Amino acid sequence: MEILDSLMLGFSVSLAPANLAYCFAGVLLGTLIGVLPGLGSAATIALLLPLTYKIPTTSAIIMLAGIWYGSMYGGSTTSILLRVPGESAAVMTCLDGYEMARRGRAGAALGIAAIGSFFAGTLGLVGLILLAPPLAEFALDFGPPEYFALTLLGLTLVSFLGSGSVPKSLAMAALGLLLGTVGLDPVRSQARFTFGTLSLQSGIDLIPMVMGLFGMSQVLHLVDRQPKAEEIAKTPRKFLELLPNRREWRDSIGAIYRGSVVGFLVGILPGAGGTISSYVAYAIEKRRSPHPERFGQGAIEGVAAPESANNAATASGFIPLLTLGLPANVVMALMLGAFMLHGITPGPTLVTEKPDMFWGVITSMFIGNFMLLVLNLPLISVFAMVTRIPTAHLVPVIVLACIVGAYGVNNNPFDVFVMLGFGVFGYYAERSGFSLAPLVLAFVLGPFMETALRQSLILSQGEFEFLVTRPISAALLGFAALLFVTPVIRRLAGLLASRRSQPKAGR
Amino acid sequence: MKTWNLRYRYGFCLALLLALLLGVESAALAQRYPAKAISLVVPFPAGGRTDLIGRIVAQHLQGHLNTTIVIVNKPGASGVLGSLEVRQAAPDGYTLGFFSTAFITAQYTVSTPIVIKEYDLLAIVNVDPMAVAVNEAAPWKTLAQVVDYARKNPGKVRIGMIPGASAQIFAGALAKAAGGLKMIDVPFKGDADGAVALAGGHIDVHVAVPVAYKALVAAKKLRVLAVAAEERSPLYRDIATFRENGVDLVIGAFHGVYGPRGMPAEVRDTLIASIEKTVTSKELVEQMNTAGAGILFRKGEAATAFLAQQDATYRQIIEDLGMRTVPKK
Repeated sequence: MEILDSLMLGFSVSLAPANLAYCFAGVLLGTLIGVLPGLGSAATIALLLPLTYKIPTTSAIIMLAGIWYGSMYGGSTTSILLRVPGESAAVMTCLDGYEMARRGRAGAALGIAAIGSFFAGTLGLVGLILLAPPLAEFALDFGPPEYFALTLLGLTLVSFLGSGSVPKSLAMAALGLLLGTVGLDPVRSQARFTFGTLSLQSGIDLIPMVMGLFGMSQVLHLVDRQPKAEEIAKTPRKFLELLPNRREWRDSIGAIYRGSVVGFLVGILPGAGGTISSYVAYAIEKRRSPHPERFGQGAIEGVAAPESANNAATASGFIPLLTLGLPANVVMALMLGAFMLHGITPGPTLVTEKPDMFWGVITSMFIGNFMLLVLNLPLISVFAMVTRIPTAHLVPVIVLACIVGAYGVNNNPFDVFVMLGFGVFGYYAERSGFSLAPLVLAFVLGPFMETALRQSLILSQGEFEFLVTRPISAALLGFAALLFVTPVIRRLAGLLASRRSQPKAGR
Repeated sequence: MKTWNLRYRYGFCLALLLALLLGVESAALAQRYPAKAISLVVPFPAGGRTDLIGRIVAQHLQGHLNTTIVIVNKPGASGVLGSLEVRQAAPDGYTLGFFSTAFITAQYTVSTPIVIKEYDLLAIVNVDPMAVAVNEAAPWKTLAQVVDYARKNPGKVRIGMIPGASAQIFAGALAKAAGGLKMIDVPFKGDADGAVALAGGHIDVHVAVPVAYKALVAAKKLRVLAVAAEERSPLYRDIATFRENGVDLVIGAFHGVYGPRGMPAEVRDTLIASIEKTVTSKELVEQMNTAGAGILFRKGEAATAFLAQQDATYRQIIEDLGMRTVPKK
């Protein structure tokens, strides 16, 4: 029972009063910046990095980690209440979360997001403790061909993300892929679609784009069609009625569980992390639901799955950092910086050389997740009141949040115009029945896919054999083909069945 | 009506008071530098290498300057957006830039209005040599063996680097200095994903600054073969130099503190003196070393000469490799 000993050691560190205080400070700050769309967890951690130099390393890492997973809890709040995704990982939560809020179930959406996050975060940590070393080795087997296959598999999910017509979803996905090519190309650094602007050389940033597509376009929807008074009045005022009811619980338990597993697995891969895992979890839920038409109309699974996934991904995102010293994303790069500022290089030697630090940080995340749950549940009743604010007062707040949020990413005013442009585009696209989610997914995956494909082709000297000769990539591509073909077959079978039954009905 | 009038009057008085205060404050500003927080523009995202080194320097520098230094990350267009921000700022010493080698290379590879003469280089603070790494399981024990293999097997060795950045220039310079090697350039987004691909055996060789390999070397996944430095250094665990391997190449990545041209002489002097105190302090040296960053301090004419020499070296390599996209002015 070596693990139990390690955990005891860890808890003896993380339960020390000072570390508890740092943990609390971290998760509180994380919740706040998650709620405020203008501030990202990366910017906040960067800001606090030099300040942590004066406190012990373990306490510093505990606090910074708290900011990171705390922001994942908070990020869903504005998605649900205002349809403004506070973090890129909270985009999927907008779809059904905001619809739930409009139907007076904001509390249930917030509640299931917090509880799902808690469950997923805890499960992710258990996975982190038990599976970290073998999974890190597995991640090394992922070369460019495997990444290409994986992104292609992700792209086949597009058809499950949109609501309504499949050709329209595919059109939006194509547009997303195209938008992803803006900027310097990944091999020769040639400028593409930059029209001579320097600001477009690094491509279009995801955050201003999603803030425009979802937040700003919602402002236009609100101006266009003011919610009726009775719609607003539906929000229950009693705390218990705010929480998910029995039916909602039954619908979301499976989604939370599946979202956690998917989020954990996707979160290990460098670069992908929380954002992609939330898409995949959402698509899976929609795919296996007997009533996929409910998605986008306020299905609670559509909140539970992506919110669980992005929290499980925060836990597994630590695996490459703690076992190989590899940062999987910007926040992990900052954590690496924090370790290095304290003269420690995280890697496979960390657990043997500094077990108190390793296990202290991990166990602090158990405590932090619990703190977040306790912190977030009472806040639900406060946040739920937002839905009762009249549109006239709400609209300027959303606009301000979007502008500040878009500017804050790169301190670049150009991004504000990008946000506004996508706001207008998103409004007209949705009015014409084009779903926005396929566009965002393709935009996120496109550049990964292009880089991986071109790397693979450079490595194979232009041969496409790598697609089938490498076992992992072949398996992933086979699965993608299966996913792509089954709906077609199902529809054909359905057509045949209805033809057979029709004459009977006619008689 | 009456209450409104009253309010206006209060408002007017308040505005007057505010104006007075601001006036007093700006008068105080003129007296002694620095009298308020300084922004240090880092033209790359938070969490990158330039950001990390910039933060270490800023953290110690603010003690010597007796003011707060705020890091402003302004990424985009290979660092050009951030450097433009510094050029457009008032030359009052309250907006400075922490720039990397890209500040030089971008002149030739990104079509921008950057002219390095429009900046005032205060000091160079860090230099790290380029390094070559291979997988721990690879047969090569020295750089000379890699060069030998690549020469006998043209177009076979897969070398990972970041396209359009100094790493591609490193790779090209290595191939040229080793007598025109033909290798396959495999592009990666950053040093980390390239190093992982090397550890996973997807490529054969990778070039980057030594610290990029630190964790994976400790994990016994990678081996650093050589560094392109003048001489061996304990900071890089006494790894052989390129020259020892028969490759005559000394090249690296550096960082410096810049300001817009036209800063008052006393502001410049204060800044340079404080940077010198910072960079020579024992604490900073220790912290930079643990972060795997080498120290090189150059100020005044020595700094200008260093920059001019680097500029000439990089321009030559970029032109030799046919990477120049910006026409000669």
